[in-house]
Amino acid sequence: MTPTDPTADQNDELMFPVRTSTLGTFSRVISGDAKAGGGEKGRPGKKTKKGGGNGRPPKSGAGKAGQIIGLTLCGVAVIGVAAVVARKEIAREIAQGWLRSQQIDSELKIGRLGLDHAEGSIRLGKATSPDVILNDFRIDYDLNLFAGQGKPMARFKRIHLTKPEIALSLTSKGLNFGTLDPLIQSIMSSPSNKGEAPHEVLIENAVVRLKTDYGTINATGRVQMQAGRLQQLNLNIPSTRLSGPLGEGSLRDGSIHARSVGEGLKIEGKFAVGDWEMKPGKAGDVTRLKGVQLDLTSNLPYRQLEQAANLKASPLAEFSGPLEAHMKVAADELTTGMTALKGVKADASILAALSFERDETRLEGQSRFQGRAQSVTQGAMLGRDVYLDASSLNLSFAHSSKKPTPQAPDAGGSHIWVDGPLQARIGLYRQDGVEVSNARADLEKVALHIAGAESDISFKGSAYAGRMSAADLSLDRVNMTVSGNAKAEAGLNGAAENGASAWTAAIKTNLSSRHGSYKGLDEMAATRRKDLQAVVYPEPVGTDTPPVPVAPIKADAVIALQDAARAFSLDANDINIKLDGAAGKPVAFDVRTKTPITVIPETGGKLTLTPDGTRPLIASAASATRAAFGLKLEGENLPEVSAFLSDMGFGQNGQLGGKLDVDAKFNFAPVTAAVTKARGRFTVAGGRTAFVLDDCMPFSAARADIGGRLEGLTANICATEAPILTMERGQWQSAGAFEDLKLNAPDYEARLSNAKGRFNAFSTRSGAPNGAGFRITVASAEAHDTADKTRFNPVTVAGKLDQDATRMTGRLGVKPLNPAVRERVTGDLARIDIVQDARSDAGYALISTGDMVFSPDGLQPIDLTPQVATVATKNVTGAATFDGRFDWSRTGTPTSQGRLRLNDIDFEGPVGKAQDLRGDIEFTSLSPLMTPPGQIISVASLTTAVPLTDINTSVQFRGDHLALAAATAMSPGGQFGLEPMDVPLAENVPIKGALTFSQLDFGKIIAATDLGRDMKFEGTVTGRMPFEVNGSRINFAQGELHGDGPGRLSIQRAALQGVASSGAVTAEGPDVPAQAPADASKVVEDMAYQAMENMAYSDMSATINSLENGRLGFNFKIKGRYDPPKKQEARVSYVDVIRGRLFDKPIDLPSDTGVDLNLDMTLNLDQVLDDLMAFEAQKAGLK
Amino acid sequence: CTPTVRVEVAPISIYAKLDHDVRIRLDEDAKALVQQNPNLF
Repeated sequence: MTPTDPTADQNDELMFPVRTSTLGTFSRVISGDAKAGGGEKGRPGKKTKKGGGNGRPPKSGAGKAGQIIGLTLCGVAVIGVAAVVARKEIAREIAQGWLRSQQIDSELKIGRLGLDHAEGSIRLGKATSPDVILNDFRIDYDLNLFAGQGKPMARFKRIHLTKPEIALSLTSKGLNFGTLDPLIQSIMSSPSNKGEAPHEVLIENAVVRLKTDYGTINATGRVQMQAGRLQQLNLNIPSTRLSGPLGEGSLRDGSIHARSVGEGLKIEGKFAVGDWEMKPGKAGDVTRLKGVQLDLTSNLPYRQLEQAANLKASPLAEFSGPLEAHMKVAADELTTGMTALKGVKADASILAALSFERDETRLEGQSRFQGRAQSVTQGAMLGRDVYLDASSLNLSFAHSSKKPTPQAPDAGGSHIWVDGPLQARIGLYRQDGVEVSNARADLEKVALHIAGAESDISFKGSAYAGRMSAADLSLDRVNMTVSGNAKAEAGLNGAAENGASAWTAAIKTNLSSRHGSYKGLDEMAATRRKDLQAVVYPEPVGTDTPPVPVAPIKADAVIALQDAARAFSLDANDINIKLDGAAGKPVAFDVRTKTPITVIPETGGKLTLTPDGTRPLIASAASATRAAFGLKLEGENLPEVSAFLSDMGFGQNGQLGGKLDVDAKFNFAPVTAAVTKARGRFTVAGGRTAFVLDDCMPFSAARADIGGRLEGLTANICATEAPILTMERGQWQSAGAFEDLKLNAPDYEARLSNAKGRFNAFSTRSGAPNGAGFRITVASAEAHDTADKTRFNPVTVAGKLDQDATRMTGRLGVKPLNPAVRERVTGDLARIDIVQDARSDAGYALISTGDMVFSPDGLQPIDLTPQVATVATKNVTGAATFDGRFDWSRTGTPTSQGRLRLNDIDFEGPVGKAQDLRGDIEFTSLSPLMTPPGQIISVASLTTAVPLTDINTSVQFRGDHLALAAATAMSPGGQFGLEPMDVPLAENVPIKGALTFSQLDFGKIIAATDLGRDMKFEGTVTGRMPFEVNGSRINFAQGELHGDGPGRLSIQRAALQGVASSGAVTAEGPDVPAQAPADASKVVEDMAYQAMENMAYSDMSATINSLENGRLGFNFKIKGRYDPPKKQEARVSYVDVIRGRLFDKPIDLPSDTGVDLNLDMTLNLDQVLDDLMAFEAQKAGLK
Repeated sequence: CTPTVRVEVAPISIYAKLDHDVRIRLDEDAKALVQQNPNLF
């Protein structure tokens, strides 16, 4: 045995990372009667130490081995001395007997046994599973048989063990030495004595089998001690596969090297693990490790304490002093439960002062920690390139073993304080759609305090993120200030029932970014920009009022919002976030601020979020107060929005909901300058946002280009069973009812009012020709004609309009609005079918009346249009059919055409009673009404002042007037005609024309009229009567007619109101005496009457003019002769002549007397027309 | 038979005035008739 000579008799203790007590002497072990300090009966004497601690810190495994060895050898050496001759057998029997008394199987072989030396081998524990095998022990010792006063009889000087095999277990149940355990426990509790330590202990090629919860570790090693003080320890663990109740794995290699250097102990540990799995602990999560490399270097205090006093301060007093440790850990992979870390590296160092006082253990110093992980995943959370750097932390640790007392409830237990700056960086963080990249946090101060089950942390600093993004929203170069504290404790806020942990945190932050952008509108805006650029708004038809200008494309809500969302700055200051977490419960949160949050787009404008002073911006379901804040959006081109969200929060099922009051002004093609005010409730759940109206919302728009230019639109939008607005995964739907809808359609010269119905609009799949589809059900709507000359009476319209991704189709029924008419007319007046192709925006509307059958008790044309008022007011029979269409396209003014067929129509009106009106009119435009020339309208007969038949007109509708190309009518006297003329359709616009007639049998005309009472005419006339109709007045001017040849005239004497005549009447013959001048006027006047009663004219002409007094004046110039039916001469009695009474009696006018008649004839035309109107009205009034 | 003398009349120039008035009115009987026979006219 070549033990190294001990240098000094040091009475230090062996400290192999753990403390162990010094070897006692053999005698102490045998007699069992403890010396000084007494002890309980039957337990080795306890050397009471000052402050004898009964809570001694647990002893480490290796020291115990030494105990075992020491105990056994002691027995063997004493026996040797006593029985020199049969000493070996006696010693063996004594030793094995003693061991048996300790319930320890053993087998002892003694090679040599002398007064100062013993050699041999021993097995302790069952043969099948020995606890200790000392294959080769060699012991040098001094014997002192008469020591007394508790002094040892034998004192070991050198112990040398070769290839010892030691088996022990270190599990969750503690350290166990198998069958030696009771014995060792009793030794452990006996007081140690420095002076008894052997000069030298040398253990070589030791094999240690350490049974753990993870399997048995086989280590080999070498220990060298001097005077009870560790000098060197080398322990090597070869590559091995472990498997145990708590886990399994492959240990590639491991080593522990310890050397005492002056007052310290230098320890180096290296471990390499291939893969390692730890079975579920209390939390039930399996932890797996791969490719782990641990390197530990440390300098522990290992003082040589002479003064027993210090020992008395604490059994570990020699370990008080400066401590330095540096640990490096690297793991390819670490997974536990849902958390997995890859590429992990940690580098920690500590420089501190360690002190063991009586009941107090303290550590004060500095620490540095750097950790990185290539990736961290937990459920949906991913972190990449995570890096932590705490370069100078103040570290304090204190443990007190005092028991808490009512006076000092906090006494005892452990406390840890750490504070200092912390830098954290992360390359990428991603969870639930939120992503943060290139972020770092510079916390100038982090203060952590852990005390038993409580821990709290406070922090202050700034943070920066290269990019923060969620869905389509991203903020670049985000700067934040962060401060706050967090507290975790078992039993906090009600989490203690099952002892689970709970925590609270309060964070205050300012957040700003100059580079925000939102891309959620890009696709929709691109589609709209393309669509809107392609639209060419048609030139307005009616331009009496300047059209409302269409909003410029850049002012379209979606496009303006997208422009604004492209680049904006965000400032959110004084944000207070409160978090409450407890095991098994969702995290409760409450986010508040008192400072408005502003978003300012680069393109101008501003979005302001104004907090409600007493309410959070958002809070979790558990929160008592519901959130509320205001939103205001303003700026050129941007929609003007002023909204207030209140009673907002999360329901128990995680659904976000609240109240929303919003006033908005916006353009959303095809709608311009829309204004609305909505109040209702919104919900957001599972990516679906829905808004339900509380009550109807007023809606108006200056212009809407839907199937033509609509202006001045107003309506009430009301809720139906579906939400008014739903949005989900980029698609939207809006469903509701509309009432009191009014609008003007200037291009159709019409307006709608009192419209009500339902609508359901929805977004179509992206890229579809129609960005939006809709179904509009019009329950009823009033349509009024706004043309100058009203074309149709007010009607009601009802029906459906459907638009999908590619096409719009619709069918509307038209009924009269007038209730009285509706009673007579069941069914639709007309049907409108609408089709529009989404790709080309081209479409058409077909208007069809089918056969409109007129009957006195049923439908009458006057019910349809006032335009027939001057023609056919009632008793209309017959049928008419109208088929029309409007065509529109993206690039032009709407066109229209139509066909009106009039069949066998009889009617009555101011102009008289007409029969068999026919017409087949081709309209080339319905707005305004236009036709090609040559549209034929004929009437079989018209009983008017002059009965007319075979009336044929050739007309052309030209918008605001009818161009009459020709019109003829047969009268009893022949054909009348109208010269080409324009008939304005607008009311109160004079109609100018000229009535023509040729070869007209004027006599029949006179006979057919009331004039026939006063006069008779024979002869045909030709003439022209220019006239102007103004309202109910007809004014003739410069009319003229002339006889086509000779004719006859006869005027009743009574009809004449005045005659003035001149002419010479002389009695002729040879025997007629000269007469004295006498007044012949009477006779001449009488002659005039006679002449007018039977006049044959050779030449007749007349001028026709309306006179001031509303009468129609005919001024005839008639030359002819008196031509009574019976030839007559004028003879007077001779006596009368002589008596000069030639002229006392009328004288017959002699036939063929020349007559030159200037006849002024007038007719009370205006009166007749008034009477006619009154007559019609009276007749109508009597019905 | 008393002796007569033939009278020579030179062509006569006549200026005559004829004002013709037409009035359309429903008298009471006609009114009653219309009320009993709305489709009379």
